[in-house]
Amino acid sequence: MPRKLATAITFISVVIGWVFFRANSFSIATDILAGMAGQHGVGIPEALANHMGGAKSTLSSIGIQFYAGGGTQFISTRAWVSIAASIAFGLPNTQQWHARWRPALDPVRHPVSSGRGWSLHPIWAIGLGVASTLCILALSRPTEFLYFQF
Amino acid sequence: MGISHKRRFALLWLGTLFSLLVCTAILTRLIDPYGLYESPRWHGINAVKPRPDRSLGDIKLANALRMRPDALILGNSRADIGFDPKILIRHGIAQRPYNLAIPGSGLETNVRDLETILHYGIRPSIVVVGLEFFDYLQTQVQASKSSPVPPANDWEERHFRLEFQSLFTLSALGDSLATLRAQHARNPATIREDGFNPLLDYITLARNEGYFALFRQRGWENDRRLKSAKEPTNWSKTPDFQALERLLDLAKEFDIRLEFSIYPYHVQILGLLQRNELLSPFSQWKQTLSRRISEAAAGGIRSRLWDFSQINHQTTEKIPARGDRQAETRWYWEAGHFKAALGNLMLEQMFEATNLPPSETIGQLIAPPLTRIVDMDKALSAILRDRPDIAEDLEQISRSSTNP
Repeated sequence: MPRKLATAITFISVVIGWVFFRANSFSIATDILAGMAGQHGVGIPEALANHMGGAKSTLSSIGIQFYAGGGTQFISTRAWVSIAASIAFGLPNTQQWHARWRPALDPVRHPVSSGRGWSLHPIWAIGLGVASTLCILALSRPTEFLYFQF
Repeated sequence: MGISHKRRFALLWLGTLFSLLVCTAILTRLIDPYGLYESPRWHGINAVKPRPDRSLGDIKLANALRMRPDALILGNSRADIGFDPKILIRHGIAQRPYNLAIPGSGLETNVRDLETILHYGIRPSIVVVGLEFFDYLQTQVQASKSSPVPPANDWEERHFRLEFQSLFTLSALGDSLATLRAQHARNPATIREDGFNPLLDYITLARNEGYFALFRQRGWENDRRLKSAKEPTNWSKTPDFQALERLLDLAKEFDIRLEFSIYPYHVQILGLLQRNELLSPFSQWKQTLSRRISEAAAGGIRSRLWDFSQINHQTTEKIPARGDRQAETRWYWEAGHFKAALGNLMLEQMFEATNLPPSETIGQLIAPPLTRIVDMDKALSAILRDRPDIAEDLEQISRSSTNP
């Protein structure tokens, strides 16, 4: 199977799994999945559509609806997801960053070249300090996805 | 690679970690985005406090405990943005009123907060309570949201957690940065020192999207909620009614004057109640409340019940047309949330501070004495015949609320 297709199937399967972890009941989960598949229609914030000029009427003609409020959240959510996705899909993973230090028994495929990989250089220490700080500051956030809700 | 490199790496890593944690704590403590520490309010830096997305109930309670109010406003988001405590000061009714209404909360939470206030020796002499009909109905939303209200005696633990979270969390850091931004924003989402939410951010929202969009969006949400709502078999057995009983007990024990207020639903909501066959249960609910509060008053508890969900000039305010982003409403943000302009009139009437002649007053005292509640069905049908704009709005909402 092509690597990109395998990645896409795995990712979509995980996203579908998240819905069942987060929903309060099985029926709510299936309802959310139906919504994600477009069964409840497709909508975007009215405020965003108002900035689209002529495209708004085109979107409306193909059945896209416009709703009040939520414009900032709509954009910020997609911005964060895009940033996270570009990191997850575009950058090397932790095994590849640490390949020089043999983090696993199996050989690491596509390792980061030794000059750019993880090292004891001060810049990595500071970066790790910043990342550790963010992790500690985020500890109090709710972790909805740890348990089934029903 | 020598040991000194590893040690230097570890020291630099841990040093960065602890330095950043300390810097975060100093920044959040100085900016004090939630007003928890009485940090100085510097104009242009932290004088305006942003409205937090999380822990709003605990933040408002902590600030109320610090302020030691002599009058309280309780309720949900309608009271949070509709009842401005300043009006009580203006009319000499209270000196330190606080709006402790919590968006999304029911009367159980409100009573729990009042118990905490009383537990710490604070004795508000007046409590204004907004009563929400929706909360007494049995709905799917209510069933899925039901979570136990924390006991009133756990405040020490909750307060400790709140203080920790206000110093060492990403949320607090983000809210501190939001505080800096809010000083220069045109209509920031803020919370005032007396707990009131002026909802300035809705001014921008209404300007960008128009009031029609706000009314329509909420209309859909309300219709969907009411479609799944059922009348309880016994109003007196509902959790909110039990909370009301507890509130009456507290009023008796601590000699508190209670002013209950049934929210002034816009005629759009009244129409949705009618279409979902909930207008008659609405009257029965009012009747049950009128009876119980009249009994309480007869028993020496200083309590009154005001019905502001009437059909009048304010509740029939015209909804601006679709696409009109210039028109401004005077009384409502949308059908369920009234503006402080209307809230002020309500508070003035409750405390006999109104200058309006009796023919122009907006609410009716329905307890005490026990008042026979007249079903609104005929009056509402009459107004819908006179106002085709509202009738058409309701028709469109009902037609499309399942698939907006």
